[in-house]
Amino acid sequence: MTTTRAPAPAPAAAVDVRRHIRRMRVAAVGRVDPSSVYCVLLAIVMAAALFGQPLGVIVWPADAAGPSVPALVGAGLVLLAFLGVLRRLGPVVVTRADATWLLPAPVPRRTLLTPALLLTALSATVVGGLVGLAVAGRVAERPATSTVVVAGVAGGAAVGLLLALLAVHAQTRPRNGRVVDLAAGTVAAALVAVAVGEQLTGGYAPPRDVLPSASTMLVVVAAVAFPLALAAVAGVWWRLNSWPTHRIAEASASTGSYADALYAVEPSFLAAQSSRRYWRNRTGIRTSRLLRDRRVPPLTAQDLLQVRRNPGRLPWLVGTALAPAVVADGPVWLLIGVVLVGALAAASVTAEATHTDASNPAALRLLGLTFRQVYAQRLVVPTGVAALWGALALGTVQATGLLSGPWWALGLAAGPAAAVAALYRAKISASSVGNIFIDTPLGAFPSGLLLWLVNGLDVVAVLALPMVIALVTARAPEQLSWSSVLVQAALSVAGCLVLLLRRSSARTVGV
Amino acid sequence: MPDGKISATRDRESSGTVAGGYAVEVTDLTVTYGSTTVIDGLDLQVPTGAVVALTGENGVGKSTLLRCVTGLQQPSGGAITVFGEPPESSPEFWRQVATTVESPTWYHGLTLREHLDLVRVANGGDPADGCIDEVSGLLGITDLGDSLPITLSSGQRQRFLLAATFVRPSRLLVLDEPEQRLDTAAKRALAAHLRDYLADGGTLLMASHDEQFWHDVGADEVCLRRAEG
Repeated sequence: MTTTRAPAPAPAAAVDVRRHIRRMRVAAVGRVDPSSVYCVLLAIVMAAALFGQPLGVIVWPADAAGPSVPALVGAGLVLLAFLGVLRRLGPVVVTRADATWLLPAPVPRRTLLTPALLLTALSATVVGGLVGLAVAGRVAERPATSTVVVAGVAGGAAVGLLLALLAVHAQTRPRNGRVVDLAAGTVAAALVAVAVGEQLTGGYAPPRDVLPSASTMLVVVAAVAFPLALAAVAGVWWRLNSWPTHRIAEASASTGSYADALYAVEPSFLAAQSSRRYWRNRTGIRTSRLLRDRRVPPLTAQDLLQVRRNPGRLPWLVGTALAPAVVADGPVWLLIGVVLVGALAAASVTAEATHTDASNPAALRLLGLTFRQVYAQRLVVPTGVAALWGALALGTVQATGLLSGPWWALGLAAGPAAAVAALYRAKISASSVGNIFIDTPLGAFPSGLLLWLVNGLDVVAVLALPMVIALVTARAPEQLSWSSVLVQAALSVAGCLVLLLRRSSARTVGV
Repeated sequence: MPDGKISATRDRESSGTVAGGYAVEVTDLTVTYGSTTVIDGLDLQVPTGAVVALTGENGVGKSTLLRCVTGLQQPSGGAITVFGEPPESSPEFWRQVATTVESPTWYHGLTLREHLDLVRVANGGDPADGCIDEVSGLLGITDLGDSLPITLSSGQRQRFLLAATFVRPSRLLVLDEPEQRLDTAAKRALAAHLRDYLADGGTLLMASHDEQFWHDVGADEVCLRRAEG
């Protein structure tokens, strides 16, 4: 071990650092193998051959139907989802090894982070360009001129780049990041609301000139948007040296966890990581008197506090509640799927505590509560949230005129069924649910992920069977009968009782 | 650890009957991990109202013994009773026994004070009776009441775990190195609190590496050590 009296006088030259890192990597993993290059190229060609055709139809359909609200809403949601992915990933990150060894070393920060920034800008340009092309493909009259195509791609790329810059800005300023996340959620919910509104009003075809003309867009993009975006990217690149280390380290750790989750096929890593990140950055919490006042059972009070302290989920819940109305005139299986998955997701709003207790019941031993007490208290809030979600979702479909009768009450009655399913789902992790490996031509694949994906859905599908049957058989003008609502309510209550009245649940501490 | 045999010695003879009975009785306990025997034929009695400190070098099985006593680990052989019953995961058992052998995963969305309120309310106590304030003051975490557990340092987390353990009623405390990561003043305050707990009729079984600390608590030492050969 050596010590220095003072810091090294100057950081290592970037070129030397790069050369050293390259040499180390070659020593560790060897040079790029030509067979690897061949495999990657072959995979790309095969993917293009397999998915090129259907993807091409989505991006550039044979006939342009003109601008439609669902298409524009879809484009907006894809771009917002991309922003969400960038926010989750960082987006400016380094590998976990680089974060450990090079980030705290006297290495120019710009050298380390330039590849990540370029990758972010490039992926934003590609995603934005594809979305722009898809919008142009629906708007441009056939045969489309090259000006229209280039304008669509360039316009979309400029928007994508703008969103990437927003994500980069939010990464360095967490407070602004929370505003960005909330705004994105609100805009997404508003977009879905617009799509639902369009359904409720019986359809609306925006005028063909809802988007600027291709030549105008090209001029604006070429003269204003791209130079500005490039200048902003260059500005960010120039300031990379002053980026705070902890922001990069945190984002790199998150991305490392995503890689772990992919590698270990354990998606609950992601939820845990995301939750830790949220609560670590959550400020301004003051101790509530809800628990101290003892007016509600303690674990129910805990769930209420949890929901109140994570208000960012509300726009998403409202947005997903409007989704069934958007797909209501499509195939019935799609409507059923959206309703069941949405209800399960709404009921999972407090699932984090149950998942925590299932993976480590030490806190429950400290509380001295039995299974039955825990379940009884933890069912209350998800039941309420899922019931409200179901009432809003099916009530909105009812308002579109595609369903008739007391559908809002059916949604309300299915709430406890979704809550029971959410509790089952929260207790399970992908690694615990199945260790059987499925052999595929690409190697063995653990079944846990597949089982985890449908885990809980099976429970809600059984307990909400009256609702599913009603969705299949009682389409307007057929009227939904109140007896279906009563049967659904009875089945939901039975699901709760099965959970609560198991013999072991009264005698054992835990979940 | 090729052989891994340990033997237990006690400073106090435990032959004969004890007035209040035994809080913990361990008979011929054996614990093996694979081919390694960590505890081999251990006998231990902790009378009700007594305080026992398990000492010994790292790896002799102190934490393993505490895990077995709290029912968190199934021994390979032997018998354990806590207040005359085998340790189990029933609410009756956990209403009598409080432990820091395992570290809970705290709930992300609750503050420290809310966690303590939750523990106290769930165990049927009154969170406004001053007990939480007293324990928080003793362990120096009063100012952290509005903090989330994820933001705590390791030392603060240790104090918080002790506070959560102390604010719930119990007859037996099973503590694994409670003095760990505490500064000198906090250790003194903790020792005083444990003496009060014992004076109120509680029983304490703990593992410790700090001789001054367990002397301050007034504990009898039970030194676990690997047998020669």
